[in-house]
Amino acid sequence: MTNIDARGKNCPIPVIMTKKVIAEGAKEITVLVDNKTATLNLEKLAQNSGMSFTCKAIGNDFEVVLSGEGKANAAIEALTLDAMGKACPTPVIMAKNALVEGVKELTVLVDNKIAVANLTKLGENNGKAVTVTEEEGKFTVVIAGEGVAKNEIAAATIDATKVNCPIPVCMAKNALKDVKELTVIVDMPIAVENLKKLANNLGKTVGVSEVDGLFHVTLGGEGNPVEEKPVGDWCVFVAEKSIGTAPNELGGNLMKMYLYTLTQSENLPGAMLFMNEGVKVLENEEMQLSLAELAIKGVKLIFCGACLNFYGISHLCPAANISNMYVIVEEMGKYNKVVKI
Amino acid sequence: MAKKYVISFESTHGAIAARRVLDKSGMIRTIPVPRAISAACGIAISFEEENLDYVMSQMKTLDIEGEYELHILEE
Repeated sequence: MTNIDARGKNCPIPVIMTKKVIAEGAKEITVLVDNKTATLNLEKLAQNSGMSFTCKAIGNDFEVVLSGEGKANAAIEALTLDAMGKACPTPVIMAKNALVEGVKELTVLVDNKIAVANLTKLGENNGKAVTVTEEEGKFTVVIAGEGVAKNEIAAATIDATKVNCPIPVCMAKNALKDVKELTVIVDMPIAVENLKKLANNLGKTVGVSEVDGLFHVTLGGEGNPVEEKPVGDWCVFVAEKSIGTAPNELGGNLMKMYLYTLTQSENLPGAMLFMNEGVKVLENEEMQLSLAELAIKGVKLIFCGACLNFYGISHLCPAANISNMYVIVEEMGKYNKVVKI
Repeated sequence: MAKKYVISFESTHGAIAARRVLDKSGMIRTIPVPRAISAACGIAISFEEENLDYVMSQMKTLDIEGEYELHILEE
């Protein structure tokens, strides 16, 4: 009896996890997943591996049981990924992971044109045929054919319009972990400047073009890998938009000075975690500037998703950079010193 | 070398008042008084040369004449 908890993981990860334990000889496998698409993909895996399949809903999650003498390393013939509501580069990373696993016919459901363009580029780069169908703003992209799956995303575009700095910088850094040549669409000159600084910092080339009043900033070339290693050995927990809770203007000014002074400091924190009113730093122009500089220098910025939602400012921070309590607790645990502001 | 303009204040209240009139301009940054000017902790504002005239004209609208100092720092 093997249990796998694949909740919170995007396809194809649940399928890959399950495939691995089948290869190890597991005869009865229980997989917890949180979306319908994952259950459909696991059903296909069960069929291909010659195992029986049952599925029951538990609250918002699904419990899938595969049992029988499984055939190890059965090819995953066809797989569907549901990337609706996910901003690039997530859909293209999901697709790349599936193709690397040897999926012959990959169907990806997405809801925006940038994702379609990125998936098309990915398919073409792997020498596969790509077909796209559209229905009421929903796109079905099928990547099929022989081709050679490459464990890289040669080029992709992300949309960072309508968000304030430092978010475009954070998004670009995140995407560059997986994408070699990245184009970031932004609508503010300051974001262009910050992306140039980021490119410079990472040793990448940078090109800017203006298309319909938007800026397309392309970071290319080899450059240095985006490091996972934190730049500092301490972390900052920001739970207020000002320093101290006294109801006057001083606290807000102190916070602006604090963030600015951090950018000038040699001893940078590894991460900054923003919770409760701390997420409102995203609303202030001066603080945005300092945060962008910190992000460029390698400080990991994490914003509490529930808090952004509570204050009605989720639009300032797209999904890729928002986080939950699990990540925040995990991050705090990495450092011996957590400074609460 | 780039020049940076910094205004330091005699009182924190003066600094806050100046920030208030200049906040919307997007021209200034709130910084601690640079060590080269003073070792004391205090609030200062910094801005680029191109914004000098505007910033100084706004400073005149405040009732704190003689209670602040303009500094030019080489970076």
